[in-house]
Amino acid sequence: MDKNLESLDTIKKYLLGDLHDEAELRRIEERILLSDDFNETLLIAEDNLIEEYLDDSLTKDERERFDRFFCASPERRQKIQLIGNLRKYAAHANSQESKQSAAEKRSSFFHQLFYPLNGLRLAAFALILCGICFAFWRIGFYESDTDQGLARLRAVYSSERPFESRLSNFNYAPFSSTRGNNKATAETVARDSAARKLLDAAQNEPGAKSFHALGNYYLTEKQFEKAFAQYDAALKLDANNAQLYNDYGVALLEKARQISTSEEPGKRLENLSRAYGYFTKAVELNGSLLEAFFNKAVTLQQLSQPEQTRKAWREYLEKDSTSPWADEARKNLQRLEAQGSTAKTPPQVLQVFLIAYERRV
Amino acid sequence: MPLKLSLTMTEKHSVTQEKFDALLDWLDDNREAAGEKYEKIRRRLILILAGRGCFEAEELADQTINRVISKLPQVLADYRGEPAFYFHSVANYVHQEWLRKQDKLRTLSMPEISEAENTDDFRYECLDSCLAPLPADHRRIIIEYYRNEKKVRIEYRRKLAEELGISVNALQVKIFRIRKNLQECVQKCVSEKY
Repeated sequence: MDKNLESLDTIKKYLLGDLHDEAELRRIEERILLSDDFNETLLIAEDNLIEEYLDDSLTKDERERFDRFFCASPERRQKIQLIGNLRKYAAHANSQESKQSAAEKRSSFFHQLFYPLNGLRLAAFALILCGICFAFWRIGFYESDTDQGLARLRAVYSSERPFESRLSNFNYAPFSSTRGNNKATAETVARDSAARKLLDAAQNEPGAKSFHALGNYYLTEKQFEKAFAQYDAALKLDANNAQLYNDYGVALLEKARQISTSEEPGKRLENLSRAYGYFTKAVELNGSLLEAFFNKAVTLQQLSQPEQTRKAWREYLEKDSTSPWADEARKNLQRLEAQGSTAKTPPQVLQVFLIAYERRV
Repeated sequence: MPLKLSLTMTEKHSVTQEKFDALLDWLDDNREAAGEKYEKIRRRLILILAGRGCFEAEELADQTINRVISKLPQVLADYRGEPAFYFHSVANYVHQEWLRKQDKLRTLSMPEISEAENTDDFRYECLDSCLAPLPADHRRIIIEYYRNEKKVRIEYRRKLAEELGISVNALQVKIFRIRKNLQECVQKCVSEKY
């Protein structure tokens, strides 16, 4: 008899408690203690026995021994349950695939339907062609409410941007600190139109993109808390979106600007550090996100840390040296170099900033 | 990584960390290697005791280890040989005591299945939730492994092994490892639900 088969048969008897030769039992147990390979063989044999049991392939006597002896151990019972459930799960997955395959067969049936073409088939073909054209339009030309709203918002700020920092995917426009409330009527109308589109989008197409876009609208209106709420909702759905982190950082930065240094220095610093943290996260997620590099430098500038700020602007210019943003970066750098290296923020404030930054996002 | 003593050992049998460390030193000079040897011996004692029809194999294995620890000074003085064999001989005594206690000799009555075990619906739900976080390839392999009826299954598994570039035995070992993690997850999930 094949020695291999014999030992498999012996192992099966051992597992069913049907091995009565003390010497053989001792040998098996010693092999269990010392041999990694034998342990592997034994565990595979256990699995095979369980499958035979579940297949109802055991003899009556084997089945009785399985129930009485093999199943005595709670761990083995759990194993049996798990294998049984895995089979059930796989069978369910199998039937789902069969349904899908049947659906695919039905769709190939339609292929046969249209060849060769006749009157009825031609009409069906025309209908399908219309469907394809619609899909083409939908993918290539259709703009969702979110896209339309964002396009309108960008158009509002195409000649002058609302703040010094950069929102993602907004084209360059110069910033003026004297923008104030002198808004032309046409701009107000355009901004309201953008707002309506973005509010509709958040309602009708709720998702990270529409919440993010609506957050941007609130940010441009300096309604910071509303902006944060939308960004938080977007982040819950899309936690690895670099642009979202960047825009969140812009909201924190712009909020910090509004806080008076003399009245609430801690609050201002907290928002600046959080903003810096969000820009850093954005860069971690996307090392090419120029907006975030730009904004990091702007944040450091707010802290009046010339050395750190110079470094940040230089880092930006290494990545972008040709755009209008780069021109701004260069001007900021030149201004700093003209001012000299005297820090205006006390070192301990910077220390607090850095500690707060460590506990960021 | 520091080894933790099982609750059975610390709470019931006053095994101190110091005594446990002495055991590890006996198994190997290198602490990490000693830890691995300890885990292997414990697992294999459980396998042996389960192979004898014990339904309290884990508890008996811990009792065995505890007894070895308590006799360790004597063992170190007198015993020369493979530590695993010493554990085995102590396990024999522990098992005999257990059999006398259970009033059984090779004729075992089925232990009552606890309510917590009789939870097939929970187990299936838990399996579903435990499969989800598996790496996609592991999930695919284990589902593929268990699909199909008996006659087709063996051939299917052979093809699966071929596709993965491994032997059928190696596939079975791979399945065993994936299933081990699944089992722990399902157990944890069931105890949380039940």
